[in-house]
Amino acid sequence: MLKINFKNNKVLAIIIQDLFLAFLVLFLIFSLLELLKPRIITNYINLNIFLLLLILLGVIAILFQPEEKKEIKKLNFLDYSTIILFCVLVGVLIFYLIRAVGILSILIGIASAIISCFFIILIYKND
Amino acid sequence: MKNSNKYLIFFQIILLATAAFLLFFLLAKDLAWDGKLEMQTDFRKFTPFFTILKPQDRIIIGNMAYIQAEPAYFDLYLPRDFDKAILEVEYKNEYNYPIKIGPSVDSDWELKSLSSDLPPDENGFTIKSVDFDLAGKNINNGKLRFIISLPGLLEPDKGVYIKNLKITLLRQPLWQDNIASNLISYLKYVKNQF
Repeated sequence: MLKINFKNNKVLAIIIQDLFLAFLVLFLIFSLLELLKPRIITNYINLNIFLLLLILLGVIAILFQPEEKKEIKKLNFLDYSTIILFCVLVGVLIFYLIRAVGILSILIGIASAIISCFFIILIYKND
Repeated sequence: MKNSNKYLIFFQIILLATAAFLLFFLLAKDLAWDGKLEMQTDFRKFTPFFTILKPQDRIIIGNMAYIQAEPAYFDLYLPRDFDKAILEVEYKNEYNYPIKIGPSVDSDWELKSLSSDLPPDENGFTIKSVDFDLAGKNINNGKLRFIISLPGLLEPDKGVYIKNLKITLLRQPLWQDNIASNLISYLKYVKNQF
């Protein structure tokens, strides 16, 4: 029998955050697949409803977020390598998607990789 | 909190498994792993696999689609390569037009008659099915255009009602065909069409 004390906001907050993360990752994967092959997901699932659920979960996750003072994390070599690899992938993906534009697509790809790198490091440091 | 942690990990595993299953299910569905994909429309609005009947000035959409001038067209979106399509049309042909339907082939149409030997139901609707081999059809961007031809339809108030269209697409199931060649043909279709 599952006995979680829902009065303890920490547990509920973790559950909602996990749900939100699962929805977010699925939404990103779905969007990526839709870009690569149109209608692969929207033939079976309404992505607008999915996005609405995601936003709702995001709002609830923010409301249930416990207020804590957090220390700024220090990133190690593995963290930096993972983030850089991820950002390179983002850059390559964006370049691939807009490759028809020409030379500009390379610049946009590099710019998006750098921007996403900064954002991820910023978010990661603040957990 | 220790006990809660155990349940939280269990919850996270379930969540991850559900997400992975959903993704796998959608991909399997798009691959038509069982060799069959069924879809239907009443042409009253755009649906994932169908457009509405076109051109719009020849169609009146009320409780059902009413064709007041011919020919009419619709597009079918194919998620992958299929061997055969079976069309099941429910329609009301009060003025007995020799209705023909068919997909686009090169610069022409492969038309098949919809006339039925079966008597219509009490509301005047008849269900008739026709099948088409999909090899060599004009599929562009994953879209195959069909025509509905109604020779003799000249007066807008003497049209034909289309209540429902059900299409069953068939191909070799994933387990019967060589899985690798099945996946390769899917990827080739995606590469060529999108």
